[in-house]
Amino acid sequence: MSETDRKHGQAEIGEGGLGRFRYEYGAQPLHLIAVAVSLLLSGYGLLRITELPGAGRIFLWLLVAALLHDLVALPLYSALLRIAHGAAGRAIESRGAMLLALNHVRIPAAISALLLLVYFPLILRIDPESYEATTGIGLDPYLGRWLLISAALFLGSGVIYALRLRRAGSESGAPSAAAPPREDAAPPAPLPWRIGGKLVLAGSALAILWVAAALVVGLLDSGL
Amino acid sequence: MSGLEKLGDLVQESEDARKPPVPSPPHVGPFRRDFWRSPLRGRWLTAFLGSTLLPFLVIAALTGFLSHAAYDPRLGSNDLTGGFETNLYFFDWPTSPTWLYSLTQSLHLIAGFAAIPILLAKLWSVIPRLFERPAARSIAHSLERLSLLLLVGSALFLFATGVINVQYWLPFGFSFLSAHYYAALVFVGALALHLTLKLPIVASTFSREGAFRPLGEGIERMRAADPEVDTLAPTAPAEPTISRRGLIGAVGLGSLGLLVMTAGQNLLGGIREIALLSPRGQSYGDGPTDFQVNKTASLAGITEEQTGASWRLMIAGGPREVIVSREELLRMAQRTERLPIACVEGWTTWQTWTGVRLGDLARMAGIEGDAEVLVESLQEGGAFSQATLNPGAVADEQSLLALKVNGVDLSLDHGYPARVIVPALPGVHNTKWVRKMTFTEV
Repeated sequence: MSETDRKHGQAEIGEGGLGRFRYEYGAQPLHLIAVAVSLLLSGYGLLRITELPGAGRIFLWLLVAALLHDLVALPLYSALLRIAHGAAGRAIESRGAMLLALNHVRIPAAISALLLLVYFPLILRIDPESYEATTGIGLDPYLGRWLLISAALFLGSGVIYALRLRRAGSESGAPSAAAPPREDAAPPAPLPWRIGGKLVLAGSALAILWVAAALVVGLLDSGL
Repeated sequence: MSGLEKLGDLVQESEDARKPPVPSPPHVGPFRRDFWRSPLRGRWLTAFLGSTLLPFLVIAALTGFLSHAAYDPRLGSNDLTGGFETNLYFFDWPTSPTWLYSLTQSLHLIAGFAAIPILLAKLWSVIPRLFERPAARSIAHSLERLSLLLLVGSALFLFATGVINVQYWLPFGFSFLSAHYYAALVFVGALALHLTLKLPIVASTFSREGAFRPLGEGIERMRAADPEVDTLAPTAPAEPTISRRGLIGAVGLGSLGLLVMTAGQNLLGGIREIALLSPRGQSYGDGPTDFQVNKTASLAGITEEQTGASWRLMIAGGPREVIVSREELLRMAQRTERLPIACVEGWTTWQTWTGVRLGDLARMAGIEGDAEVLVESLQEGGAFSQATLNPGAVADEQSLLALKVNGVDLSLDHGYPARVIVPALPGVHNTKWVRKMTFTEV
């Protein structure tokens, strides 16, 4: 313990019993009361879980849920985002243009991934027998619908991206009085095809192919 | 000084407390504070996401406990959880308005599903805290972290089990209903502490930085928060790749998508089809009995022989036991009502049912006063092969033992020869393939 720490600690103790409590426990007594009330209610829930059949599995799920998210899922999607960022950075030099392209890809991708995360038992047909036995109908449409929704998300994002590029292009090309500069408007971004032209073209072609393939598979699969 | 600020002073953990002899993890990788570089992280982002998440969680929790109440757990063997707190559900679930359970339960699912992206973003915003050093500053700090483990574990457990369960994938190896219910108690307990400790910080963050002001900042004007005063802020911030409002917008878009999907399965007509990915968004066809089946006859083990000409309904509990055939029921006064089947899984289907009033059946058995009724199905085993309905449900003029739907005989999957349909009752309590009704005067 350093000199200053000790002085600080003694000053706390000097305040009497309450200071002493605060020093030993780490907060005011109200903190302990709040913790106790909370843990009593949570503890009752946990106690009741121990009496349920399959209690061990429930506790395992509770723990695994937290670990799986914090130590697997979050690092995984962070790594994916980093890879996407790196790739975009190599393809497009101008930072503004790079970010515009990056966000117009990763936001629809994230929403598509979110839908898959939530509805994967239906989309990936994890247990079709159970679904059909319960509802009396099959799981056929879901994969196609998810692909169609994903295609629509990318398509929508692509259209907005094209419009924003055109606006950025016309603003930088002709800074006329017709378009008064907005206070928070982005500094005009150089057009990406001037810089990483071939890479952007290849990426766009891939994205268009992907959307087209998803549309075809989706249409065939949902039997529309 | 506002109330929240006073509370903040009283519950705030003191950083200068005695440190317990817990060995700290090494100063490497994620345990280094400069490992976390996103310039978006900071108190404002976490406070904003948390404040947005809170109403969803409150709605989901309230409607969840209301759903428990809607099963009238005090009656018969309706309760499937077995705790003493069943006695806290002191009121009979009402039958009016008829859409009551459809509303509360669809809200449960809508709030739950829409909260998922917000929760994920919120957890992302505070992930450096998982690796903070020292791992335990004081007893108070250790207790807080223990409670946080319960909070995050139970929250993810509730979302995961709820989402999987409504998609009829049952890999749990435990009963969904009781596990979801008691995990909710763990969650509510841990959330109560979290709110007590953090609401004062949210309030001071909003009064310092403005609740909405950072939403006005695009990526060019946005700055990382000061790591000296804001312990969530990065010490070595990277260049931003999206603004805070951009992130919040993306989260909101995801949330909106899930909201539309989940809400859709409760809507009428063609609008229902917007629930493209929801388990109950599919159409069954255009026929009079082509609507959502909760559980097929084959899954319930119901055979044609049981439901054929030899089927009889036994009505017990009165001075005389009555046994009636389907033809005799059809000769009684018939009522037609448009009523919903609203499922605990968050979907609704409105149909026009024709049958005999439950009250008429009670009188036929010689019951004159208020009575509850135990309805038993031909289905053997299964938690919902029987249900006890409260006296209000029996007496309601719209409560039927339905024989027909949309003008034709019930299909086997919809409960032929006869099923219960009571306004505002949870779907599974509208027992199908009814075999016996036992009235008990109260």
